[in-house]
Amino acid sequence: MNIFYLSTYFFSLGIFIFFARTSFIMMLIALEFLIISATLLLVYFSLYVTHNPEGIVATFFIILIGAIKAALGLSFFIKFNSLKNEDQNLILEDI
Amino acid sequence: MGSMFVFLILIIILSLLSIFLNNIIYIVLSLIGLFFNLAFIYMSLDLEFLGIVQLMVNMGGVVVLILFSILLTDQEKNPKLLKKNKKNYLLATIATSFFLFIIMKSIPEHTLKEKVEIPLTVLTKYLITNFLLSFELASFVLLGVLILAVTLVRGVKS
Repeated sequence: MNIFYLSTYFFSLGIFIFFARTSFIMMLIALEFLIISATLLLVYFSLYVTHNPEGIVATFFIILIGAIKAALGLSFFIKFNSLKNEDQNLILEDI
Repeated sequence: MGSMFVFLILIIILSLLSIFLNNIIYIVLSLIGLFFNLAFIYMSLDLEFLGIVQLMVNMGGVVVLILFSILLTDQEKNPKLLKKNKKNYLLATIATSFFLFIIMKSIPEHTLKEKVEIPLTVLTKYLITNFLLSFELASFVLLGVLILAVTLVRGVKS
């Protein structure tokens, strides 16, 4: 049951950061928290409710997709930042 | 079970630090500690495979990527990055309470059974039989995205 509560805690923390801190990096960190919440919930259901290892395999894929999301998001961030250094009036919608 | 409580408490402390600290480098360092403890949580549930994946992918990959992109773009000197807004905090508290209320109302007490141990051999068998296509697809997507990210950052020479 601890894992379920930990998952709930991470979910609420992710939602809180997503709304409270509006910077791009903090939103990415909030998304990481939401992904952790989903993985913990899958592990919980896999071990305690369904007794099926498919949840754990799905957790592995979710961690992998999280890495893909972070790589792509941060490359956009670096590109946007370098373009912004060239043009100070640039906003995100221009790209 | 005792060690798991220590990890849980450490996770709660580190996650709260990641919200309320004002230096982005300290926030990312607290995230590294958080992922490290999370890997130990997985290991204490007899899921060593997931713990090692968590250590290698999330702690060694994602967080280091965040740290490098902050350092590359000089974001630690950007005052807008950690800007706090009281109106946003109020909205965030309302949204969080709403979601917490919904989740706590839907705890599946009646479906709980005893914990089972899932050995690594079963997991690997699943990965190379039922999920082989997904596994290969994920590896190709990861490779493609990494190439795309490098191309995007470096730019294409005409």
